[in-house]
Amino acid sequence: MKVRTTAKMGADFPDDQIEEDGEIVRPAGKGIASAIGEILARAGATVSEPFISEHGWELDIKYKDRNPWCEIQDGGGYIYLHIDDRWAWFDHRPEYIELVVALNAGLHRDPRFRNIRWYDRGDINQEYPTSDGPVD
Amino acid sequence: MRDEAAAAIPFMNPVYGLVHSPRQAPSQLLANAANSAVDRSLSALSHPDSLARDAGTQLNEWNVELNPFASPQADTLVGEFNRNFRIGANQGEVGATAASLAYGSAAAKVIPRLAPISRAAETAKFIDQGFEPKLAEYLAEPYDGNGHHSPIPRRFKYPKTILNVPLPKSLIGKPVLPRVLSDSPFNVLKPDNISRGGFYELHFKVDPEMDIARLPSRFGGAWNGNALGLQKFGLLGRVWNGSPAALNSAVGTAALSGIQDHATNQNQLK
Repeated sequence: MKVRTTAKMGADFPDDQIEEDGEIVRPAGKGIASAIGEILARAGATVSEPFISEHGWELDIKYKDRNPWCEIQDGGGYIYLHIDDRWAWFDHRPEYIELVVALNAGLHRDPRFRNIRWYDRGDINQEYPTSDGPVD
Repeated sequence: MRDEAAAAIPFMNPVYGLVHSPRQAPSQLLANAANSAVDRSLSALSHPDSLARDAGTQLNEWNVELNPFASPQADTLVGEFNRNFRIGANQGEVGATAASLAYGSAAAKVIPRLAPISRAAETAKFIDQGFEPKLAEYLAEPYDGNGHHSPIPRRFKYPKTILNVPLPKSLIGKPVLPRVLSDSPFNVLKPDNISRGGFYELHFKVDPEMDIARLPSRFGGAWNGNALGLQKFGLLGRVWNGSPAALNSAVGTAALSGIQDHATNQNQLK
């Protein structure tokens, strides 16, 4: 089984970046992260409010016994979504796979997200095959 | 010219970080020469005669710095000892830097140790990458963000179990490193003297999850390392280039304390 942890997709949301004197004081993407949090919550996860992370917006997720990491980077009209089960060093757990499959289904149902493609971690600029879903 | 030299340097060098401390002053001899070269190349078209004059001046400076017979002897024994020690140290530093260039070096380690960034050269580099001049100027501004947390990312938090071993409830969901350690120089890659765009490139290469950096609305969109065709480092490249200089230095100091002491003495004499 192949589990992909990165997705790139179009995202039609209002730009919520906050700037002062031409400098970014709050990055864009909080609204998108909230929408993704709602999808995860509908799938049964306990999800925190989005908070600013190193690259964008992060969500604390609890789903059954797992605490996957999820981050959204807003590029303005498109996003990168990373979701990974950080402590599953040797294999992804069934609970985690269940959650990302549900997340992908929710993203496809939401008209604000489009052209959803899943990648291997760090391979977005490589010519590896992409997928409609996170699990092959 | 400096950028060409930096770009030509391979990104793995086990030597440079071991022999240079993060608090050590830049390797002025070669660094200044490199930055001077940038400015010279930019002004050479309008002042071609300055090239030869500058080259002669630089050669003379190197002669004084490196050749014990090119500067007058000191009046006292201690003064003479210091003069010779300084010249020896300069020779050693040139040797170390030359060895570094020969081995190839981590851009993350080299760039911050060069003399202050030439903003014009950085702007030119970003224009070469296809950015509009105003955006290139923005990217060439000094980076003043939060840096890249490595080797322990902020996002690492304790799970319920590790390899089926349950963890204490008091740990679950807490960051693996407390903030005071997580944000310390040993865990934050934030080179001094690096431009915004330079840091984005470095961050992109060392962090598998860093893809884009949003730009102010006057430019729109985002800096996107994938769109620029940048390649991420593999595991070893991430470990080496993504390690903060302070951590790198601490490891290097333990391994090569003698060389480190020499470098420190050299700084004190400058």
